[in-house]
Amino acid sequence: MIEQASLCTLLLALFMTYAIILTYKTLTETNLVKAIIYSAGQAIAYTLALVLLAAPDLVLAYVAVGVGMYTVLFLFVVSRTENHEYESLEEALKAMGVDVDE
Amino acid sequence: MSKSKARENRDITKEIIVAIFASLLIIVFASAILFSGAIAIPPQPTNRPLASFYLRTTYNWEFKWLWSSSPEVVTSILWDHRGIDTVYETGVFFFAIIGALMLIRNYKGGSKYKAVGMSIIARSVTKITLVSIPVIALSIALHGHLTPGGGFQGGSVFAVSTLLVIIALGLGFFIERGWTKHRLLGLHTLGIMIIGFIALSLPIIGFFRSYCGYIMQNQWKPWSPLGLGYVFNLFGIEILYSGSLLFLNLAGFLAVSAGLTLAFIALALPKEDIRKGGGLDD
Amino acid sequence: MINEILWSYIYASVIAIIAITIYGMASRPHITKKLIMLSILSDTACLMAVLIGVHSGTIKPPVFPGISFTNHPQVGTAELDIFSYEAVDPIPQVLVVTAIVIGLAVLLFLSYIAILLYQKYGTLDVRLIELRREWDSV
Repeated sequence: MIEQASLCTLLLALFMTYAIILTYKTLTETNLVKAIIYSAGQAIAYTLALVLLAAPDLVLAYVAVGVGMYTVLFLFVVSRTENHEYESLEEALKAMGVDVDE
Repeated sequence: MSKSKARENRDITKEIIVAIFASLLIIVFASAILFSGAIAIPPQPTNRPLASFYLRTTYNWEFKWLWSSSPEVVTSILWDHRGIDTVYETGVFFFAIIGALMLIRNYKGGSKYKAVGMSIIARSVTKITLVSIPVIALSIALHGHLTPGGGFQGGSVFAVSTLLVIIALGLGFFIERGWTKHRLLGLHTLGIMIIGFIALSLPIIGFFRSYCGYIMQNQWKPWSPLGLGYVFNLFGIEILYSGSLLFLNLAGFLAVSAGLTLAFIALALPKEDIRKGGGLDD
Repeated sequence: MINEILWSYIYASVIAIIAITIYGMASRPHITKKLIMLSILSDTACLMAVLIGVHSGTIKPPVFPGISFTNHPQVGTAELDIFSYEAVDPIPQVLVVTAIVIGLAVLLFLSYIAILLYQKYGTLDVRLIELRREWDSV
């Protein structure tokens, strides 16, 4: 006997799928500006999930903080420091100009 | 080459151990929570008893011993039933802002900044929205005891408009108008002092009248007959301000907006000023 | 049956995001990436707390509807019974409002420390900082 799943549960499952995919892409991206934009997309998915869970105070607080402030804060940090993340130690040393030749 | 390769092999085994440990930790905790009955899949059919208690007594005009005179249950729990938690959270926020000021502790300010932002289209549109966003933020904070909203939500929305100004109109827009770090820190401290004053007002009044008053007390209770009222008569119309909730929301709005504006202005200074202000060159 | 499958999937996805972010904080070598993962972790913990408070059936937000500054009728026990059967648990939402602000404050502080670290060491890669401290101490 298959019961009827309501529309809210289906939409909630869809938004959590968006959140998982975007979190994984944030983890494996080496260009830091792209990683920050992916994390902003994940925050938008969380805002939609909070609307479906009947929490209007949290939506107001989370839209301003999660989507607006975290993105701009991390972009400020990247602009004052460096932009690229190196996977292996050799590439990092080469980018700094050290000769790796043994 | 051999040294770095050995170092990388050690990194990969460390990563695998960390991954397995994280997964095991999460799986153990999740199954413990599930099988103990705290969470049910699918969710339970009725509310828990504590939630039912708060929902029933917060706006009950027939039983006024435990009420907080506000139909918005989240704000009344935040500032009335669990008010001391919120006072400590405001204190944590204050310390984080103070710690963030260490980045510009030697910064004297006052150098010539010209407000150079983006193109003229972006600047004109930003000037139009700059009027509406702070008004909406103040209205969210003012309505906090009747509709979803409150001090923190309004303060965050105000800080977003500050970010728009820094990016689209340039930092000189603030510096020309005299928004220095001392004035913003003074506004932040003023908001927190108003919260502390309202929190301690009823115990002090109770001390002079030999009644027992509680910290962050809102309404009249039979065992402590002191309270800030709940309606205000203005030319025959009764306005519902819920005791201390209206003033606490406004004070929280002032504190959060001033603190976040200060944090983002300090972050947006040019690199030369941050390097000289941090004091790492000596 | 579909309802149970969907709710199990929702809880499993939240737990999977927590596991991914903890792994990401421990294994990626750049400090900014660690900070991004920390922000995602704190937001996911907040979402899990809100998920626990939901009950099945019709859900409504925990605000008594229709009250304004000048229109405040005297509400009795009968209407409040209906309200308390339909509304969602308000306590996790209170804790999450506090947690969002504290998470923002901690991340602000950590990002200032990251900027100061870059000024002192010239890099934000954890392995290179370790190498530089070894060379400087020799």
